[in-house]
Amino acid sequence: MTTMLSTQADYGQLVQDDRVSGRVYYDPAVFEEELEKIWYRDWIYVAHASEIPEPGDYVTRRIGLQPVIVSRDEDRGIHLLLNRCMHRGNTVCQSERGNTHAFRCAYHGWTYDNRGALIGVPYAAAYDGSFSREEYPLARVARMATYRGLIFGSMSAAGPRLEERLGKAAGLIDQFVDLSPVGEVVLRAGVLRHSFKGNWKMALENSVDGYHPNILHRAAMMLIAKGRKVDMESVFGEHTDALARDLGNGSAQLDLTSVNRERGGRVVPHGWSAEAWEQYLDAMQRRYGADRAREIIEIGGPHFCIFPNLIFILNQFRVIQPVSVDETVVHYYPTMLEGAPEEMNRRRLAETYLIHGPAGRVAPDDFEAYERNQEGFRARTNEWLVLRRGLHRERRESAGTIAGHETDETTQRGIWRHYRQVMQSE
Amino acid sequence: MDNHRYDEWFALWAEDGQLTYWVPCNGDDLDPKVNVSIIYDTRTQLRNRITRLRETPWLREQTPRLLRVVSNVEVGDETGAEVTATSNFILAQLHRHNQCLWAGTSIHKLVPAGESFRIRSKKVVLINNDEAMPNLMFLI
Repeated sequence: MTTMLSTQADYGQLVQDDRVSGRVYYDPAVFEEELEKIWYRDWIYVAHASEIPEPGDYVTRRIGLQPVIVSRDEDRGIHLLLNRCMHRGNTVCQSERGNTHAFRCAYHGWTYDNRGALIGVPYAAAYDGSFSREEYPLARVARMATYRGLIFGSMSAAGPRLEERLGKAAGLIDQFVDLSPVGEVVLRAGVLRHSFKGNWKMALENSVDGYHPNILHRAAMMLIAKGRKVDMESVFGEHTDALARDLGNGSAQLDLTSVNRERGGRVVPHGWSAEAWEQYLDAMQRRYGADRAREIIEIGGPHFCIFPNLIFILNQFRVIQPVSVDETVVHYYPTMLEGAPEEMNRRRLAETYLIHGPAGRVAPDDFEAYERNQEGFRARTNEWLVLRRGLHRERRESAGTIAGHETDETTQRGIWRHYRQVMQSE
Repeated sequence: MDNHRYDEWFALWAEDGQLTYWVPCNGDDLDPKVNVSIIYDTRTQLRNRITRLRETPWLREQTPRLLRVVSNVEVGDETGAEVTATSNFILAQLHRHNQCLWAGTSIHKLVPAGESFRIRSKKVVLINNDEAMPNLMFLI
């Protein structure tokens, strides 16, 4: 869809409290504005420190559309470098991941170390005395910060600190990571990459949509219910006690704590051996004490998203990567709990590939829905998407968050409220 | 497979509990016990996959049209009771209005069963297994 709309987008009009215009999903001018105001300004999750454990390790990623190298130097420092030769603009690193002391541009051989310093220029005599290699290090992402091993970058030199930006989501990252008996999750099992022809925001909204699972994912839910003897109506249905929560800053959560407690916690799918369970419980108690360990296990892993691109569900990170206004890639990283029994981590891994990715039991339903959505947006007599579900029954909590029933659109409204504010800024 | 005849295809598999249906990810041969796969099914999971494909309402609305050409078939040495057969395929998929192309190598391990063979394991090495890909909601 490439209709270029000439009028300047008025985000107060396009994004209202109970409805959103389809234009924010298909207008290329809106997408361009999002790159500037969201992707090149906000804190964007890029990688996890455990993906580059050794000196010389690197992975390549994108912030918005811009290619970035995440590298680790010999003193274990982490660098976010733009993947673009300072000479004539070639990418200097071609692999998704690897280990190297230097990035060498294939075109004219300019060579950079893994801190980004220019260390080699062939036939350098042709440059006059005013030329200095110090002038041309690889460009850096303006700011970098980490939280519990998660590496974020911001293309903007100014703005709030990462922890301020994470706000209440930081506590949920803790909840996710604290399931490890040493307080560390590790990404070492690779990544599933899944693409769709549709706008990136649908993947974000859907990640915290508690209305659709029993309907769109009917076939998968039937299999899960049969295999584990769980009534999925009590998890995602009308009668669940679970909540949809707007955490502020565009972060949102499906709070399944009540459901998890009833089922005795949900660290990994049920059915693992008594030995592994004992081993895990023992390790957790040694780190946290008996009460706190029981509490962490009972609550289990959180289900939430951090605007604009990071999602935690069950035991994986999901990362949203926009490609264009109507094309997106979602990355699924299984996470392993450091210090947990091997059996448990294998179950976490299996759960990721059985459920997610292009051939998983659940994700393809969502991806089909996104593509049908993008196609539906071509119909413009009525431009609106209606987000008023449960508006009358949501309530402000003492922490300042807003909670609705799990099947309500409280989470989507939270995302859009933040979006409107960001897009209205100069 | 191109006609989604799931039961007939499932009947081609060996009946022992050891079968694996594997489509590696991030490379052609990373250990599936510790690395994520696009598909890594046991017999039960393969049966569930078929149920899921059959019972998904939107797939019934729009079943993908498939056409695949299998070539370069090589039958390797027999090891014990097992025969390895390697082949290449190119598969055109039409889903909604989009046609896309899948290509790769299949490695079948076969065991004798009466006059014929049954599949003990199947590994499919897609050439794009380290790239983003769209829904893979059919038998590959």
